[in-house]
Amino acid sequence: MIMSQSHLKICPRRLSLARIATIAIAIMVYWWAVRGTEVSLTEFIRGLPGIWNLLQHMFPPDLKILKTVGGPVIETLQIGILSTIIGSLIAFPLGFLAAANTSPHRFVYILIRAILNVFRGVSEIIWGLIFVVALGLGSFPGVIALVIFCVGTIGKLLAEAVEAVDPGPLEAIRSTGASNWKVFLYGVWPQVIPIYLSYCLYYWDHNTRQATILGFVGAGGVGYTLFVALSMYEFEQATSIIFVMVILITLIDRFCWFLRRRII
Amino acid sequence: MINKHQQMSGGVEFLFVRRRKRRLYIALTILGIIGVAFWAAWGTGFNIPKLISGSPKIYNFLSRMFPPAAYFFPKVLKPTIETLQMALLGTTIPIFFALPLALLAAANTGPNRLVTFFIRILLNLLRTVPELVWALLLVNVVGLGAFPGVLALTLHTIGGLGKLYAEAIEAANPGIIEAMEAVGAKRYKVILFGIVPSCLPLMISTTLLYWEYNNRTATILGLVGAGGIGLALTHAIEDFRYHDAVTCLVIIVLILSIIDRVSAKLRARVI
Repeated sequence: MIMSQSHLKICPRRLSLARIATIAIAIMVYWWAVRGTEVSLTEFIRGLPGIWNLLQHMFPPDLKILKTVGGPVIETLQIGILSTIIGSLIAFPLGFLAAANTSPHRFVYILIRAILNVFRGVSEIIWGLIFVVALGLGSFPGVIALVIFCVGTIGKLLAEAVEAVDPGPLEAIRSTGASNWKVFLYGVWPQVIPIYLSYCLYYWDHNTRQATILGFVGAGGVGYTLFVALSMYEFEQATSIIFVMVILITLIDRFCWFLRRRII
Repeated sequence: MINKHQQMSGGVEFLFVRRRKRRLYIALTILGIIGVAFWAAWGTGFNIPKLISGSPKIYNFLSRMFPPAAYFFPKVLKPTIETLQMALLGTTIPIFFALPLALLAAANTGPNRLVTFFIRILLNLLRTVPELVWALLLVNVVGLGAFPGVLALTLHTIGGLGKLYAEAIEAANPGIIEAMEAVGAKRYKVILFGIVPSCLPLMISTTLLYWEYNNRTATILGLVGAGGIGLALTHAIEDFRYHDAVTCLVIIVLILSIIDRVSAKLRARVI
């Protein structure tokens, strides 16, 4: 008797009213989402010949475009590198100001947090769209867009890392009579730096990925070449460009992984 | 005595040499980063004078954007809901594809190395092509609207979730597998009742992260015509209706931060 009761507790397979209600609500939400987005299997099946047709147009890839794609690829890399360096430098002080335990004043803390939230609240490509309108086409607005987003995210993550610092070593250093500054230098700094560097590397990877698509809104890089190729229905060229993108992203991803392992 | 003293000073000197080497190493790295930064700044045409001369333009643009247009809120409601729906479907449909693919791609559950290898390549390809590129290609095929957006999110998320699921499966406790095999459980039973339940919390948590991420992506898919609030934003900017554009931005920031919170709460409950 007791055994069967505990068995029931372990395996909650009984259909209780709450369970049925949850499932019913889930199905309703799904139905609503499917209706709203006009997703349908029939439409998908009707689209299949189109996909086949597109694939036929995409292959074989046009390799001649590779000669002209070198410049934009380097530009993409440069956008990624520059935005990460500038962004991480700006984010560094902001991260400490936005951490509850190192912020000089509660007001500063709230203000910086709010700024970081807005910076990170909008996607890079939307920032790109805004700055392209404000500053004109080119990779310059692209860099600014990535810097803004990257400051928001690295700043927030750094603040969280600072807040999670182990207070033990800080207390130990303070008990030797060290000043606040020294506590920071020998207590907080060594704990935070590896995490900060690993976030920087992660965002370098992320920014390079984003730099490949920023061209869609005219903010430079290889995305612009792809966008032009696709809007002229040059699908063979598009295939080559997508392959180049995939290779670029994979290489940076591997390289970051390698560097991160060395830091942590 | 003298010998010992010499030895000690030698030891200290060795430490100094190591420290000096480390400092040199750090200095060289920093110099390298500065060099690369200048190269990148030169290549992208980024410079401080340009930033300063451009800042009035940015200021001017921003001042034309504010205040947000309140009348636009109800008009943008439908695209906002569409964005949320796209993200929901674009995260949940891929689960059904990602789970079997992950089981094939994980080293401890995959049938053989060849299959594992090819599935991994497929997942990597799906994951590395940015969603916006998928969306742009699919818009060409199935036409404008939310449907290509959902498909683009689905393709990318299959790759991402598939990889993360596979990693979770590979990290599953081998003790469970061994114990179930010891009582004579069949292979599919080991997978279904041993491996999958043991890494379910991790999988749910990664799925929630992807849901969060897909909401963010769903707000930009409209830029290439794949539905959602991004479309309303692009139209507003193209028609110079900057007040309306800011309304869209405010809504985007709001819904993304709410979803951030919800996802964080749910993830804290799962793990």
